[in-house]
Amino acid sequence: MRTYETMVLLDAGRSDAEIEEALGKLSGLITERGGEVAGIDRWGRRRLAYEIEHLLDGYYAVVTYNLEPDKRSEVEGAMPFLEGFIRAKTVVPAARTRTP
Amino acid sequence: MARREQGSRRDRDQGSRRERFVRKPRVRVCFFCKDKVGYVDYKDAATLRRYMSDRGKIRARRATGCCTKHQRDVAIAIKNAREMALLPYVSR
Repeated sequence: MRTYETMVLLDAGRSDAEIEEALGKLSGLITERGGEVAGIDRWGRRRLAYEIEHLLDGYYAVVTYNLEPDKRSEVEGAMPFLEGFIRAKTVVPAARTRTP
Repeated sequence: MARREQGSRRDRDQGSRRERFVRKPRVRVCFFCKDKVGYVDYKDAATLRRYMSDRGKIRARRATGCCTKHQRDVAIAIKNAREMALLPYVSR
């Protein structure tokens, strides 16, 4: 198991219910593959630094979860099919942490 | 330039009436090393913005004062933040 952190950017034009549904589906993608969701940090609607697909605002959420490394590509591959998905980024914070 | 050299030579000949100008090296401390930051977070756009020019370009190490390792981490974090539209690629 490895700890991953995925930031998802969703269409801010969608209703709160639709966004919650998309986040629930994302959690489902992880749990279906034997992972466990440690937490979802909802940043909410924010102005984008630049226009993406003619959108100026986006809904940000950061999902932290534990997952087997070989399942990561499956989860990432399924993410673009979420409703209102714009883009996502997955990082492994432990891999970039330096011991001072 | 030549005149200044002549002047300095004259000063030297007359004894050191004028103190020779010596540039003191500026002591630069890496902000991340000082604060013992282990992970440069790409989500912290406000901190990363300090390492960018008004144009949105990544500042050089000589300008940021970061150590090599943290400068590399900052550059990677800025690139990640740009990808997620937290920071701009360019700003006019």
